[in-house]
Amino acid sequence: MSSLLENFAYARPTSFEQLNDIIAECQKNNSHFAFSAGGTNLIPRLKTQSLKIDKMISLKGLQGLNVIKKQDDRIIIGALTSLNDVVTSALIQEYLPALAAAAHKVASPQIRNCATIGGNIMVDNRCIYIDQSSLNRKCHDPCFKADGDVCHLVKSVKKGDDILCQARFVSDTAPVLLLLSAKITIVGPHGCRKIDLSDLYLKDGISSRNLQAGEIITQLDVPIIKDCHIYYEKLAIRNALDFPSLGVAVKLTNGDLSVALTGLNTHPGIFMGKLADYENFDEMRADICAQAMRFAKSYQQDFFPRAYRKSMIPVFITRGIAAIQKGDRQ
Amino acid sequence: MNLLKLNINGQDYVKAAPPSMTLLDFLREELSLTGTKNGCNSGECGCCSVMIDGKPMLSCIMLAVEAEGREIITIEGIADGNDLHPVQEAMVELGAIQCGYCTPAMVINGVHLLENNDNPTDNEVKECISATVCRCTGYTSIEKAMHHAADKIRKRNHG
Amino acid sequence: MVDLTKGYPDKGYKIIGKPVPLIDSRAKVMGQALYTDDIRLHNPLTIKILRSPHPSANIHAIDVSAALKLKGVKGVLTGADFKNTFGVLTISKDEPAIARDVVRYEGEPVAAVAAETEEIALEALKLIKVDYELTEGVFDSKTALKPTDRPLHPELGKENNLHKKVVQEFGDREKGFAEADVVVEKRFRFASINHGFTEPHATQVEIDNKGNITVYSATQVPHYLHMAMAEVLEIPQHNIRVVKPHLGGGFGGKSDPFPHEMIAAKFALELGRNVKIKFSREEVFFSHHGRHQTDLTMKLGFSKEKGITAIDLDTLIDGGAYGSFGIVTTYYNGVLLQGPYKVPNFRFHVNRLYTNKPMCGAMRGHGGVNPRFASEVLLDMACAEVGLDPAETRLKMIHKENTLTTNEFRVTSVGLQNGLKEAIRRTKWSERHGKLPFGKGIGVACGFFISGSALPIHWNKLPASTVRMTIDHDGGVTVYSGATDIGQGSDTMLAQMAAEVLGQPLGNIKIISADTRITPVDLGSYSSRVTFMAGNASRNAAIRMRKLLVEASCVLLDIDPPVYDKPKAPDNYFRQGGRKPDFEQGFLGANPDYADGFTFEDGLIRCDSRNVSVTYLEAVEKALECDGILQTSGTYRAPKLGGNFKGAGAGLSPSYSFTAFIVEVTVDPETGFIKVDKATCAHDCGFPLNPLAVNGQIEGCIHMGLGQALMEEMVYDNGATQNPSFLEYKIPSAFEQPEVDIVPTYSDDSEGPFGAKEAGEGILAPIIPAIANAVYDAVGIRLTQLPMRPDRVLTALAKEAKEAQKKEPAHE
Repeated sequence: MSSLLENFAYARPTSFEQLNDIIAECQKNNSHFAFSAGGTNLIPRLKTQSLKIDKMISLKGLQGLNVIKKQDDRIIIGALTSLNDVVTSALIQEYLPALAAAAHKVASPQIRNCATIGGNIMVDNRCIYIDQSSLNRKCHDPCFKADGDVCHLVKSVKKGDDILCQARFVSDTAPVLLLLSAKITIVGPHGCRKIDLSDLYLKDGISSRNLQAGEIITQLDVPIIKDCHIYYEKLAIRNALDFPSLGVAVKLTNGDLSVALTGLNTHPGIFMGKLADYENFDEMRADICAQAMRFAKSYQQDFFPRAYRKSMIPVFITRGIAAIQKGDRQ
Repeated sequence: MNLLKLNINGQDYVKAAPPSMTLLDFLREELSLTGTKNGCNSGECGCCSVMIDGKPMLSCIMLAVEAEGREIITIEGIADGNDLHPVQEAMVELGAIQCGYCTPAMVINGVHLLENNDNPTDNEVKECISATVCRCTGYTSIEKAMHHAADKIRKRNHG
Repeated sequence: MVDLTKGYPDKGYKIIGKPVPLIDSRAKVMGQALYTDDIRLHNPLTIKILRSPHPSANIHAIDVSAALKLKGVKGVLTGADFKNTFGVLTISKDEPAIARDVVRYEGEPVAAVAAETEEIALEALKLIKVDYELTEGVFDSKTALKPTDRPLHPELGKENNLHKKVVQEFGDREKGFAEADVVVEKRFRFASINHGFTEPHATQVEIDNKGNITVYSATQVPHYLHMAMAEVLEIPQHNIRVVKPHLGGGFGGKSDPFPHEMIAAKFALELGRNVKIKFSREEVFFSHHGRHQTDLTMKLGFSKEKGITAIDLDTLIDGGAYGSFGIVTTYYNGVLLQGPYKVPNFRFHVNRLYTNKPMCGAMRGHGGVNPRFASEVLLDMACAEVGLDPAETRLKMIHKENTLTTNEFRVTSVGLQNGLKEAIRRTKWSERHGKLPFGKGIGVACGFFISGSALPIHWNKLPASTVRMTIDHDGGVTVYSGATDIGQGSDTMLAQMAAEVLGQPLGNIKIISADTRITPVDLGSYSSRVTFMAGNASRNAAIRMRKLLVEASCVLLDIDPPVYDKPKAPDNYFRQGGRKPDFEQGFLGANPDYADGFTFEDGLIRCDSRNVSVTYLEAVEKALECDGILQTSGTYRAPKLGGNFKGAGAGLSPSYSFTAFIVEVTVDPETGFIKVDKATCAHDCGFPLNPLAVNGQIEGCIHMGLGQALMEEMVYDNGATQNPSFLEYKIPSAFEQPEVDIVPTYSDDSEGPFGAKEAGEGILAPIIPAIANAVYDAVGIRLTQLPMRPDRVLTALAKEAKEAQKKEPAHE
């Protein structure tokens, strides 16, 4: 039962050198480790024993990762900034209000005090069959994500297939950041790199993040785009705690429409339209909707039935557009 | 097994505890500070709320070792001796306590809200208690109590 | 602050009828109240239960040898260690403490370990080897009805998985439907609901060196636990003491004796050590005992002149693996439709089935909630078809006071009519119903419920509740009662009784409750019996105490003691309370009139006619002189009620509560989301002993009813619980709670203590159909499946649109 955590060692490096040393040691000893930022995603997973580790490496001791600042026409957000700090930051409310709004919809106030923006863009993919206690998982044969050889959502999947797992993407903040063309800085034992956020996400529900062993995200680099308006809407039966059954971020920039989706595939979807490529706005909207609908893969792994979640995509897109056109501030 | 030093309600406690022990278990099992409750042990009911550096967080999904070096306030540290905090007074007066199991968490979250914002909107009050499950009251009386507590705190702050 | 007494009659009481914070509020708000898992016994062992991952299996072998060898493990129990099965109902004792040979639900205990630490116990569980043979399970009612050669409970000798069948018929159905102006019929389906209390089950057992155990447990029924445990463990009852610490919510989910309680007690006895066990949230869901999943078909006949002419009901309730309160649930699924309106011709047929799922049992509103939804929705439909206003129609149909229902329930006080009238006025019902813009709706529904069952579960002649009362030398009053405070405030209610009768401030009353070594028997907190029954018992104990003090005062004042009028015969069958107590025969009856010509007030006991007084303390001292102890007891016994037919006892109660809800909703026709904006409630609980507490119950019932209406459902996948967590089982948050307006509603009940009736359960049922009826008013759809999820709303809207299209006349 998910009561006590299984034992693991704990380290809290205060510098990147220390961090790399610890990672090197773990790799040498074949010691399975995990990074912890707020811990609000990691610790529940450890309790269900859907993840087992020998060592937890806390990132909280690293300096400089909990910061929000404006640098010319960009907002730099340290990956360890708490979600609530993102919500209440004057800078983010002024320049990236949709991000503040999306962050505000994550989980609960208590969790947002602890959980980080880096943690939210990295939050584990979820599925009703893996997010159970170790006992309850025994009711079914272990699925691929549990080191088994079956997918209970898609029975036809076999070992060796390209995509084994349909555990779905559930970050609320990622759709907004993707529409803002955010970049992330990744630091690891082999150095530093900066990539588009969209390149972080892979298509399989198991190894769903494009990170090498030992790499961490240190900051988000978000451009301030002129005349850019984003509206994020989340589908959840309650206004507290729930993960998005669907999340739709809509962006209008000088008449161009873009949409990003969370909750209905193993990775977020981004669909960008240029008005110039269409007869009119409605045609662009219809095409973006169709793209999003084609992208969305809905399985019976949520409170809402699969068809319903998908059917809300055009509704949310239309509402997002209307909200922006009306000047509704999130 | 490490020696942990935690500052709880203004007092330093030193105890041996494995890194995998949650703050909730440390409070309840090592120190018998049983005011903080275990409702689900998974961060989903809010009953384990404690104040860490002035902010409510869930102690059941936080390691005790992660709370080192921080200021921890539990329900036992809210009243001043026998003098209840205005949030506590208001909850008693307005009948916002039935079985009482969620009450410590409601108090922690309410104290945080009102000590930082003594004139909250309805929505801000709802949000403050939104992720602490209360099955008895339906939240109605708790919200009234928070507004009543806000009145008391405004009077205290502004005379 | 709002004056909560406004709107209720002023009866001149000092503490009854006043808004009183619960007497343990301070302890709770400071985090000092001790719940079961907060107790710290000396060096306890920790118990962990190994649970079956399979919903249906045979256990061929179980090897605990490796677990026993683990350092720190003190004992392991399996099914072979328990001979007797148990159950809360004597007629349904079908549950073993640990599964023996057969597993009937996922999560069922198959072994248990007691170890020095939780860590060791968990490690030991991993070492227990169970050889399961998976068997085909039964997962729904329809399948459970089919013949099988392997029923879950072969001891019942049935060919299928039917647990209980109840058919009752009154009047003449055919005639009733024939008389109707309109007959409406629909099929309804209800998901299983979990209580969702925040405190998981927990038990600690303390053992002394003579083998006596004290069982601290989160239980609503210490008395039933006490008896069941003695039977299961085969030890004398007097070696067991059951104590209920503070309890974090029950709602019926802690109103059975449980396997983990038996396991804990057995470990303590066998190992001679204190032990403790607490459930994870997931284990709470495996334990369940929640509201039954239900499929029902109801047909209702309605006449403009006569009201409801007939109801016919066919129901399947899915009981899960064991019986629990299920037999009672089966009856309540029918009989509770005998109110709040007269139903002259009535038949119900309810089957309870066993399936390989966590068992269902009693949950707030017990068996009355789902059929209430059906009948109130059908009533609304009938009104719509004949063009009658559904609120005014209900107003006319509510039972008049002092009436017998068709199945011979004795309805005494009814005050709902005034409350509903006022609710209609406040919500501007007539201007709004049927007239709001599309997407906005207002709906109404009514309900009724028992104030405790008149007949006990365990057939004996004991009073339903007994209270003992003592007074200390300093005048402090102690009330001893088995009544179980589960957060509803029964301790406070008991104290209010004593305070009022003896003219004492509430702080002078101490309560000792729910401790079987010290407190007399109360049957427990279920079926909304405590205020009516334990309240009466406490009041009677206080009245006897008052008499002793009056007599002592008269000695001190050197005046003649009052002559107590002989009690007259009851006014009639419907008014048996409120009579003078018969001190001579020692029979006080229910809610007796204790006016004795004295006033207890401000520390004095004054003879009104002579205007002379002594102090309360002087009287106490004088009264103590005689026996050295000031001790009285009070009891409550339900009157003889009910008809002579089989099953007549189910639903019999000394008094019934009545409730009306008017609910306002907004429906988003694009997403299907239903937002309940406002709930206006009129609840006739006779007279509110504590309006603060009554309002709290109303608000809590709204929350719980709303949850079942909109989002709560247990989801099972071939017997596996899919959502055993607070994340996936959707209990509404503060954002979903509507604005609440409570209409003070009252009636004159002669038998409730100070006129009080129940205010714990009956309130819940009608809010759900009121929401459904409001949704119909808003967007024209009748939802017949709970929860009314957004996708179901959209499906119904689409269907309705299609039907409307078909009906449209062809255009040129």
